[in-house]
Amino acid sequence: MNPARRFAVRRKLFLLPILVTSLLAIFATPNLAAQKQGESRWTGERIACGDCHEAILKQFRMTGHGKAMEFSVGTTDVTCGSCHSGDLAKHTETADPKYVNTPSKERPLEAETNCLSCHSNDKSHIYWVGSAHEAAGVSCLNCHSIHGMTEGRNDHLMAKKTESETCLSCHGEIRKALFQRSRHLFRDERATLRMECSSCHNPHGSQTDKLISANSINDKCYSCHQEKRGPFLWEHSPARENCITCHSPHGSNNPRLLTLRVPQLCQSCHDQQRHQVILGRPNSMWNFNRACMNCHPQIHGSNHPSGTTFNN
Amino acid sequence: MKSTLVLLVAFASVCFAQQKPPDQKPADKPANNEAPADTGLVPGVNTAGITVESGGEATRVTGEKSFIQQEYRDVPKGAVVRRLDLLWLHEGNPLRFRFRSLDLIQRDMTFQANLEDVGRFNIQVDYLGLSRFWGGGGQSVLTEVQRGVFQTSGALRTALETATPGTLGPLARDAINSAPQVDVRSDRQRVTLTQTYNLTKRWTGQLDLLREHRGGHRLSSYGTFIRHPTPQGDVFEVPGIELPEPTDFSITEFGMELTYKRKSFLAGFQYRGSLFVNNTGSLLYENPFEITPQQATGARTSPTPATGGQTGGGGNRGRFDLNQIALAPDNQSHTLTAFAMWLLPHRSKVSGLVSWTRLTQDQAFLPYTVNTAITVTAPTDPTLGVPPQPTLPITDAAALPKRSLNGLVYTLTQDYVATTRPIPQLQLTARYNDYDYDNNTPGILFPGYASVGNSFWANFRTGTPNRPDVLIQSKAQNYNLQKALFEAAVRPTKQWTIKGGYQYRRWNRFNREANLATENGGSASISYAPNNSTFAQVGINYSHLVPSPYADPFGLEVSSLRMFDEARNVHKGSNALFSVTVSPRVTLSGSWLYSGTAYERNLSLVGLRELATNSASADASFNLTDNFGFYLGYGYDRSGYFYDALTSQGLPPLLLYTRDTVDHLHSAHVGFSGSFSKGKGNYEATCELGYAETRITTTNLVPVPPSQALNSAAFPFPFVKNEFNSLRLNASYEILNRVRLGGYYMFEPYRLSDFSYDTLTAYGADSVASDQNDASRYLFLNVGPSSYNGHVGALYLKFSF
Repeated sequence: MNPARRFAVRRKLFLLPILVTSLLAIFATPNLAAQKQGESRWTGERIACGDCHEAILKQFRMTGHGKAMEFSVGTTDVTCGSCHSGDLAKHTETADPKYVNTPSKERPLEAETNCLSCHSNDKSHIYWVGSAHEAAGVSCLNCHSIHGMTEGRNDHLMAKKTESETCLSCHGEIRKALFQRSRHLFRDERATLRMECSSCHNPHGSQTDKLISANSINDKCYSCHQEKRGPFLWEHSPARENCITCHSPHGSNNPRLLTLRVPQLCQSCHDQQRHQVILGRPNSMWNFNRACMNCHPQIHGSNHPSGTTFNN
Repeated sequence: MKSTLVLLVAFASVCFAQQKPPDQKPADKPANNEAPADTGLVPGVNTAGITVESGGEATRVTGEKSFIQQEYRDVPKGAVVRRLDLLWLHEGNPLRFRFRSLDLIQRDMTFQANLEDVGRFNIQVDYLGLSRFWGGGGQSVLTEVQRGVFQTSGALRTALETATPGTLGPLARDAINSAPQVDVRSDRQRVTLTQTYNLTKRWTGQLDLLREHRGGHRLSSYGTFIRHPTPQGDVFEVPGIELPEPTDFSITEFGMELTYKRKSFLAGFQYRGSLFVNNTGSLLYENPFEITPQQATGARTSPTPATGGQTGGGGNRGRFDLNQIALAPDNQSHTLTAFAMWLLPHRSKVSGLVSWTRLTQDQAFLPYTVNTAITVTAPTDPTLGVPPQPTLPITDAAALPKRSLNGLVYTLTQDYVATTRPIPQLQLTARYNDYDYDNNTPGILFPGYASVGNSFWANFRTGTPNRPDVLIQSKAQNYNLQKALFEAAVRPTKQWTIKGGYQYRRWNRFNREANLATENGGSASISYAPNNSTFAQVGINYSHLVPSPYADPFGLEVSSLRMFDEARNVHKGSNALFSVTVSPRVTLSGSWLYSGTAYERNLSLVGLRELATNSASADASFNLTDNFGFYLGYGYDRSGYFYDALTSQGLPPLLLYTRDTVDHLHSAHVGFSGSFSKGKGNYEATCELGYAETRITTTNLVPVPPSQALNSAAFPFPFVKNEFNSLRLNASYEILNRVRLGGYYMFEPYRLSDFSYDTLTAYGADSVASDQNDASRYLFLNVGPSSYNGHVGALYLKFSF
């Protein structure tokens, strides 16, 4: 069986489990989601705080946390007092805020204890304890605001209007990527970011350096740039090991997110004293347009029998 | 599109297939749906209702080629539905349905539909459209007559082929200037369906489906075409032919996951499959300068002469009439992942993840060449050991030793973490990570290849001076990276944290220059956080990498050169950052980072000796009122690449070209945003100014007479400048209850100055004799970012109910 036909057969076999599982999902869900929902518990003492804090509670009820509190989701019976510890009775009697603890004013370790009582064993949070952010003293409430969503596009209860604003409030050195010549953080004409930080990072921790939410940096890049996945007949080994050998993923003043202009970037490895090092004058052919990649365009790898120097 | 419809129908079916929620008496509704003025509730966003913003938009660009907003964005023109947000939820009902969208019916629309029953299931459909405009207004003598096939006029080719050197340049320029204009654009549409079900209190299942299509064209450069007569024969050199490479990718991904959790334990299993298909396997284009297929003269000789280098072949390229490029091959991957986590007393945790991937690629090879004039030559060096030369024409794929790669790669990721806090002031973390890239692709030994852009047959690749020539052989390269990290964080007081860590890394590589390398390193930092609005940290790190003896398996490099990622090196780094909210209205932040790597060159004579980067940034934001604020920031980045060179006799004369290079990048941005309301009117203004300037300085390693063009001070590099500004104005007026009429205007002047796109200055005399440097530079298909003024204006209606 020739390779083209073999691949076509494999493609059909690949799609088969997708079809089967989709049908299963459609027709079996009444049985799959079998756990019944409880009665609404948005009554009585549970919402006594709303006598004074009506607006906050009204907004809170619309959130996922509010629904969890109302319908007893999870293993913890959530009330206002689950997060706002203290002497609630005294607070209700005197209206003095000093009798109630506000998690946002607590130390990180104390503040996140309440959050972790439910979220510690979420899959997306399994790396939180011991992660870079946690070890640096960043708490959940540095980034999240629990009671409700602001008008905007975020759906993760971010403290600021958008996810990127939340991240950039500490990682200000990344902000310049918004203005650089080539960038992943690109915005539309209304200044709305089309890719967010969480497109590549898991701020709660991950198995990879720099909180990349994949098994390796390259695997994350391949999640959008599948055409670079290979394997190729002729490989460019530094590119295969690590994309950021040559690229600066947030943004760069060089074209195509390169850390350094070509040909200087290539010359940092290829210094064999042949044509590779002819840096010469700014108006030389070795600096024009794509420089080395004018002739070696398949720099990520080539699958052409004559592409051993990445020409084809 | 059909796939999208299928997914939407599937999604709708899933919605209807769900159990109905228990009968609930809805709580008494408020007298009307109008949110109290101070609640911050917005219909469609965080309370039930719909918010719609639609209208008309117009765009005008005055400038050379492209509009940077268009670079990543298909700026709408005409009728637009900028926003449609819908939120359905009821008090007393656990169900919640949300639909959010931006730019519906536009090419790069995004929307998200989510149906959730908290604690039971969550079903979400996402649609993401991304558009990339590479440039417009460029002209090309090549026309795409069918997908991936580019042709040009036979009359033009004849004229260029027979032109005398003096007329060649003007003839090519005239041909380009009269060629049709070309816009180059690509786009991406992605649909994902994610379903999560809480099957029981402890079991959760998840299904994912992704379907993506990428279409259009993107730019790529293929070729050398200028024809110059030289004493060695005609020389073809035209760097900069750009072709619009067709992209027609289909990606299908499928995933399923099963998770079991208890209060202190989580374990799960996941499968994910990904299939990538490129529906355009190759790009075929005609050479504007040749109408008759020829091959370069002077096939290379072997062995390589000890002095003077190789003769023939290399200086006579681009004689083909037709060239074919292999585009990205189809591939697929399957990943199985198992993970588990235990929470233990004293805020301790152990977790583990094992992930195995199988990646395959078996696309049929293209033939060696489509140049029918290339003659296969027998190897001149009988000791080289090349396999028998093809007996079939090398334009026939049957002449290849293998018809496809049969590529097979396994990756295995293992990650284990243990962390504990035996006392509140002390946190200990140990981590082991192993990433193994096991390439089982069989190597292929070729008898030769069509060298130097389909110019002639070569049996080998030329070795560097004093090195043997090299067989044309693919070799699978593998690597395994193991990392072990031990870290301790001590908090002697609530405000201070002292961290220290030790890291060990080990690379095992196969078919690279240094097959084993180990690195030991350490880091330390002190951070200070007296409250939630202040944070400061300083840190240092150090590592020492020691590779095994260097052996170049491909024989292509100077024996004393080490590829810098495998060279013995000492790395030192330091960093400092701070972020402080001085007052509720003022936030300041800054950072400084130094990273220096010194490559030990005890055994090597040339190559990268040191790589040093220094980065500093400072940012400030001021919110003068709740509705008005401004920010400013400055950054400086310095990157230095320093090389070694002997000054003794016997160096190859080409060493004159090597230079130390330092890039200095200054970037600054300032902006303000403000809004105010008066009566029924809301007014907003945003202004951003961003400027970046790169200065490149180079220094010769060996003395070069000032009169020579190669002297680094003779022709300093111009600054590369990028100025990115925008002014946005938005005004709206409430014409009816919850109905606003608004207008929006954006002005964006952009300035780019980059010498690499200079098409006006004649070439410098580096590689051709000065008396033949008669042509100003020209790009075949000159598209890309350039200076412009862009205007976007819109009128819209926004209503919420």
